[in-house]
Amino acid sequence: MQQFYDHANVIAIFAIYAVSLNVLLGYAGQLSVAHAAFGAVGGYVAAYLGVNHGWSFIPGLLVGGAAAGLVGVLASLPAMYLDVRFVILLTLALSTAIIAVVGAIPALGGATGLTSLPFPTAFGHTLATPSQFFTFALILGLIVLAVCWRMVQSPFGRVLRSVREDEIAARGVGKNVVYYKVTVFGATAAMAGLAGVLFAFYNASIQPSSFDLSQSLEIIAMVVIGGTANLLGSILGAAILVLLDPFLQDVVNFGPNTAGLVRLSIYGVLIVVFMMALPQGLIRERWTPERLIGWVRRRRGAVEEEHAEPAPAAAGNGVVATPDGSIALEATGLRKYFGGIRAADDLSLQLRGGQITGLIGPNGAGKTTVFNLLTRVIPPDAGTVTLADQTVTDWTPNRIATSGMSRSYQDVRVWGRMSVLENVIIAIPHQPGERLFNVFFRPLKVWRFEREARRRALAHLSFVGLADKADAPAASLPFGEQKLLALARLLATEADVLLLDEPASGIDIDGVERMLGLIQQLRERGKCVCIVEHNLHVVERLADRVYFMEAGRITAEGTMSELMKQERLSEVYFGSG
Amino acid sequence: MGAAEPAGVGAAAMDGGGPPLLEVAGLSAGYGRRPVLFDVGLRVSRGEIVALFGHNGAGKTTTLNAIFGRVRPTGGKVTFGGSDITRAKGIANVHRGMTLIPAEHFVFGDLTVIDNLRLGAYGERGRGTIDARMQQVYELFPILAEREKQLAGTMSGGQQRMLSIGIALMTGPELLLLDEPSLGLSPALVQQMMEAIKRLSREQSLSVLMVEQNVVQTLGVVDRAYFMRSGRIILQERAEELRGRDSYWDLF
Repeated sequence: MQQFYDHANVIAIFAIYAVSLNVLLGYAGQLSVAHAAFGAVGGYVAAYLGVNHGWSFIPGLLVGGAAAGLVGVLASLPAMYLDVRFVILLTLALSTAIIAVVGAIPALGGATGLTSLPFPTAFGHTLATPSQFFTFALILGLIVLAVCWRMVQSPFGRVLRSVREDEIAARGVGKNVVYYKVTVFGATAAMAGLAGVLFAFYNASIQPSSFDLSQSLEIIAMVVIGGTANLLGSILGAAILVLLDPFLQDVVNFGPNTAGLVRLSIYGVLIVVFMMALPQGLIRERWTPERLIGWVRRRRGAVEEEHAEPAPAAAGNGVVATPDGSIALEATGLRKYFGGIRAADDLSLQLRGGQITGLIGPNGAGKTTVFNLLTRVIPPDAGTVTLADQTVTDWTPNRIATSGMSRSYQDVRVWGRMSVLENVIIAIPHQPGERLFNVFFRPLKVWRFEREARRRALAHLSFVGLADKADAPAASLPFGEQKLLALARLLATEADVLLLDEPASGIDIDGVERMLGLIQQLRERGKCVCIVEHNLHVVERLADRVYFMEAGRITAEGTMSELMKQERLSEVYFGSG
Repeated sequence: MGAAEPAGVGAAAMDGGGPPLLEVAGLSAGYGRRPVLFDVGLRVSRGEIVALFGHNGAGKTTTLNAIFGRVRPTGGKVTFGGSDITRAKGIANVHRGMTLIPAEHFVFGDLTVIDNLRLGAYGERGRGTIDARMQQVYELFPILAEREKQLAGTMSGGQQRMLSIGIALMTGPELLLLDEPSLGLSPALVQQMMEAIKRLSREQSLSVLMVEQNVVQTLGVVDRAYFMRSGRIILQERAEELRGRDSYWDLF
């Protein structure tokens, strides 16, 4: 029985590690190989306070967790703008540094670490035996699971997943990606810190080797095997890998040394096999209890009715009022040089409400750059941008995207592993549930807004004709429907100024007709639409006004038929003899 | 905008009547989930020079890549010299007598001009054949003969472009798929390049399918042209008729 609790405690501790790492790796898509090292921070802080200052277990646990969280936040700052490969390198260096530092400080016992930690007590109970300790480890484990669960199921977690799928698109709908990354790094590092404290007090001692890189890799293996972005899978993964060692020793009868080596080989093989055969792990992301309940309900025929009103596509957020024909967006003298290349030079344009403006020109003329300058994804060197009488030139891209101007992408950038409905809901601005504070302390407000957001998102989906596919993963849609989904997502930002990058490319003829019809409807509803499109046939059918661009400058403007009469423009397009 | 004719209308009647060397029917292809080509049909006869025009992103390069086997077609059929090559790989197509010259530079910069050309004839056993082909290339582009021993990477962009066509000719092709041969060349060089292509076709009944941006200049050398829009062929016509048009706006 004692042996059972022994295993159960280790499983609980590693489940805390694995579940929290899964939030970071599976949901936010950030691969950290320093997770055990965060445990070292928590464990050493609590052990030091316990041994030298007589702190009791619970305060040590809290301070240890907080310390690890702080280190996590600090680590996230340089990791912020790095590609995932460099996040791995950065956390690798961090892990090595933390283990080296704790091993070098005499007060922390060097390589032998700290021993004879005080017996842990909690709320008047001593946790001396494995079974007593397990009660506490189980409760703490369940709390961590509940917190992680709430976090990933909330609008906050939804944005995390969108960052994982496509960070540029997440920024494009106005999400402050920095906030999400710092928060998720800090929160998961703090949870790793808690696991580290448990580990130290359970063994009544702490050594650097318990938190080194191989431990971090073991935790990653648990997440990968159990299934990324599925928290229950991580518990399963933790149990399998923790029990592998006793299994090899007691059942297969390997000696402890052989078992250790065989275990490492098995990890290696398992990771490779899972990466190749089951990249989503034993339990897939979409297999959640919530989904199972929904499936059972549908089987019983209780179809939940979602009433979608087709109206809100017209409703802007009121920041940009664009009655017919008035100027919604004005750019003056925009300039951007990349080294010696003039991407934009003295570029001025006006977009009007209830009108479609086309932007055409040969390849490399700088049309997409104009979108990037207007949305300030690329800050201009000079010039001003005015959005409904407000100068937005020095606003952040997030603020612009949630204040009335948003863009779509040539290559759609939908979030593939998320559902069609989720893709649209995310874009709805100012959601209270995107703040972790609200998620945990104002659940009612979050829940109310969520219902409203869902209703609005469904309305946008029925506008583009995808309401019946709301539950399908976005990646499963054909490309043409992904484009429609991208349009619905754009509308969900409630922007009045819509910048569409090649809306008609890559779709079949019927799809093009459907898309053009929708864009025309948006014009009728008073939206201010600007399109970049190479298919001049599409531009002629849609655009009320066309700007012609060459080498970063606007060299002509007028209706398409006016432009087609200009000899020089036809030379730019078709060459001369 | 003028009405665009559907693809393939009267194709057989227009291309000189002989059995086509290359025939593409109902071809569709794309990248990942993104379709680029929809039901593309075209044909090239022996000794014929055919141009493929269209707006950016219309699918011109993808058409060449799908014919050559660089992009796997998702539907339709490609026939070359009577055999079905829809699923064939590029390498097999080179051996059959079809060569693709991509728009990006492809010469081996650290090798001499002559070594580059020899590599083009890789797999060709007969010494005499290799020499004869090399003579042809040098006649066509005398500058390459002058610079035989120079490292290819040190030549100008235009010369590298010629060399890449030279390498392709060393494979002894019956059909050249040319992607924007004029890209990055001065107008004079473009003219020279077009003349060379025309001579090749006339003297060796080489067939050429070329993608070009410069409609006006290209129409001076080709026999026939297809126009693409958004992944579809919208028009095919003889060059002389196209040359008579006062504008091409309605085709873009």
